[in-house]
Parts: sequence; C-alpha cells; structure tokens
Amino acid sequence: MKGLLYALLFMMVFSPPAAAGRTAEVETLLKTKIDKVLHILNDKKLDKAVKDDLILELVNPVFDFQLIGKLSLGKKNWSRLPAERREEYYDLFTKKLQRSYLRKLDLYNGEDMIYDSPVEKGKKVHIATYLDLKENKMEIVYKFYESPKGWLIYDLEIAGVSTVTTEKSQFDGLLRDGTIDDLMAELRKKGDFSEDEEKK
Amino acid sequence: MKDFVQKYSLLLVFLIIGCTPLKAVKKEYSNSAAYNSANVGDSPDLSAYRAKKGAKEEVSLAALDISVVAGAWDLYDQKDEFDDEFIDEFGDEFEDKAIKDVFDPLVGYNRLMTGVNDKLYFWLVKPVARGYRYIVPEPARLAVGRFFENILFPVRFANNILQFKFKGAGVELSRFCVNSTVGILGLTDPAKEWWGLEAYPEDFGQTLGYYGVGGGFPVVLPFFGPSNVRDLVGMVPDYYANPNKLVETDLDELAIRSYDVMNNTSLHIGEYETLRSDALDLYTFLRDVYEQNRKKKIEE
Repeated sequence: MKGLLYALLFMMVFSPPAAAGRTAEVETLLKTKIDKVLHILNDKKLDKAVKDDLILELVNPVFDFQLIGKLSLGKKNWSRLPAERREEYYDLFTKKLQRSYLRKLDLYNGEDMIYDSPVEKGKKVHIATYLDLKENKMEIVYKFYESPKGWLIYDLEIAGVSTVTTEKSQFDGLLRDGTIDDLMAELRKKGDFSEDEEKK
Repeated sequence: MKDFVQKYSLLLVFLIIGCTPLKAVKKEYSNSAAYNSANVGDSPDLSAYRAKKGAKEEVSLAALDISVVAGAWDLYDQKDEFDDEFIDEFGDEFEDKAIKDVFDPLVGYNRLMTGVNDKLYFWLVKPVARGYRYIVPEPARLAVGRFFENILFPVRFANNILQFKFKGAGVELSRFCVNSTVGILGLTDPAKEWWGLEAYPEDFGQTLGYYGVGGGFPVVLPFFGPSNVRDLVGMVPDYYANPNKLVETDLDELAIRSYDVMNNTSLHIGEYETLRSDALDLYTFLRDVYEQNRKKKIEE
C-alpha cells in the first residue's frame, strides 16, 4: 500500500515538467520548420518552382493531410466515400491543400513572425503565431496532435478561420446535392498548379 | 489518510476488473476477419502502430491504460467504418462548429451580389488600385492608410468603452493623442513604434455581439462583401461616429470614402485572389470565412 502511495506521489511530482516538455517539443518543431520556410522564401536567388518544391519537402512531414482530409469530410460524408476511392481522395485533397498553402506563402513579404506560448488542449497542442504585417497583425494558429509518427498538424487557423471548418462546410454544401464524383472533380480542378491566376 | 489510500486502491482494483472484458473482446475481435477488413484503409504506419500496440498489451500491466483505450477504439471500429482512432476526439471539435443549414432568406440576392462584387473587384476596383499603386509609392500609401485609421478613433474608442474594455479604450486614446500630434495628423505611428501600443479595433457589430446579439441572416453588400444583419445594424452608429461625416457635401464624403477604399485595396492586392482560389462555392465560402472571422473578433 505504501508503494502505491509513493507511486502516486511520484506521478504528482513529475507530471508537470513532463507536460511542459511536450509543449516545448512542439514549439521547437514548429519554430525550426517556420525558420527554414522563411529562409527559403527570403532567398531571392531561388526560382519560384524550386522554392515551392523545397517548402513542400520541408512541411509535408508535419502536416497530417489524410487526417485533415477525413475531418474535412466529416463523419456523415466519410461513409459515402467508398473504401477503394479513399486513396484518390487523399491524393486530390492533399494537392488542393498544398496548393492553397503555397499560394498563401506567396503573399509573404519578409515580415517578422511572433510566437505565442503553446496551449495544451487535451491531447493536442495549439500554437498561435502572429505575422507582423505593415498595418496589423495576422494570427495563425497551428494545431498539433501527437501521432505515432510524432507531432503532426491537424488544422490551421488563419485570422480565426479554420481550414477544416471551412473545407467541411464547403464539402457539406457540395455533397448535399452533388455526388462524390462531383467532389473529386472540384478537388482535381483546385489542386491543379498550372491553373494559377494572375495576382500581381 | 487511510481513506485516501483505500479510495485509490479501490480505483485500481476497479480498473483492472473493468478492463478485463474489454481486453477479451479485443483479442477475440482482432482475430476475426472483420477486424482486418476494417483496417483496409489504414496507412502502413498506422497498421504497424496497431501491431506495436498489440504487442505492448502482451507485456500487460504496465500498459494497462493503453489496452483500455485500444479496446475502446476497436469496439468503435466494430460499429463504425470511421476507422481512425483519433477521429472521434477530433470530430467533435469540428462537428459542433460546422455551420449547419444556415438560415439564409436572401440567398438568391446574396449569390447574385457576390458575383457582382467579384466582377467589380476584377474589372474596376483592382485595375484602379493597381494604377494608383503604380503612381504612389508604398510608404505614402501606408501613411494615408494610417491617417484614415487614426481618424476612425471615435468609433474604436466608443466601442471599447461600450464593451467595458477600458484598457483598449485607454490605449486607443493614447494612440490618438500621440499619433495626431507627434505623429503628424496620424500619418506616422510613433505610438506603436516607440511604445509598442497597438490599435484595439472594435466596431458596433462587435459590441452587439459582445452583448449576445446573434448574427442574424447573411447579407452581401455591394462593394463591401459579406455581412449579416447584426453587423449591418452596427454600421449605422459607426457611420455617424466616423468624422468623415463632417465634410460638407455627400459627394465629398463619397469621394473620401472611395479614396480610402482604393488606398486600402492597393495595399492588399492578391489577398482576395488567394482567398477565393480556395473556394468550391464562392458565396458560401466567403460567408463562412466572414462568420468565423467575426466570431473570433467578438470573442477577443
């Protein structure tokens, strides 16, 4: 019985630093990734296409595109996706998200990045960052969860707008009247890098 | 103290008893074909993880909590095809938030106006703003932007007060005093640069939201884009608190406001384009983005 008491004591004493270690781990991961991405973006000698490739190579391992894809479809619509078409969906969804991410980075113009301290939400860790724009600050929240492969991003929130929530309501709207085929067609269109419109 | 020990030992016993049937179910289930077929969609890593988890269970008591959770997960697999072990936990975060069947009586008009605004942006607002951007260097445009922001002080100050945000109101007041004088009529922002005092933007729509007024149905405004009934109502007092009202004729006022819009657009070319490229359905997309962004601003 005494042993049990000691065990409990041990747990009480040692769990808080362990928790802090978890958030610190995520923070370091995010900071190193962002630093590297910004370094690439600030490199004026690199070609846009090369930059895109380098950045994707860097960030792909920290985004759980499959999970984001699942969450975006939601429980109800997931059951409508036949098992044999999942790979196709993951593939198209990942491309759409990657393209959307790269397009947002196009707007980056050498601004500073400010980090808030990480917040633990159950098993997940959220880190708010602020992009110091000329007129105001843009908040970007990276939401991580601990997977068997390490900490992965399951959602991104830009100025209060969650990627998953937004994709989900788009998919809900489309699938209310449309079919999975319609969704795939739309995703295919959105993931096509050659379709970029003029922005300058 | 004795009670304490007793309580916890009881808890432990309860845990051991409680998880035994679960473990049994899991074992039985993992041998069945159904279990394997339920995992078809898993990535190899996930399967490997499951296998590893299974092995851990054999080691047993040390991994007590893991087996309980794993057991529960596998039971979940059995009744649902949604086979990611985290999906339930994550699902809740988004299932609740998802906007279900928005009450949108003006949907026809809103869709039409979204299309009109889109065309207005690409055919009118953007070309004009680009021309202006070409002529006027960025520092000057930023200064003009700051000037207009500074003038809007009464709106931000009043709405901070109305929401009992006295710190925000105080900061806004200091910013206005410093920037209007030292900052040369608000063209520069020494309050931020020297003292790190950032603006606390608040409008009457946010004030109404603060008092629990819901958004009502969505309304798309010409030029301004998505809004809702609450924020539309909120625009009225803000409109009268805007010192632009003090100019003599309506035409002057319109000119000033248009110039403000053009100047502002010239600083943000590319943002709308990036945003819109994410949309499958432009109207519902912008509506959703607007609502999420407003919700966040009201919560702050």
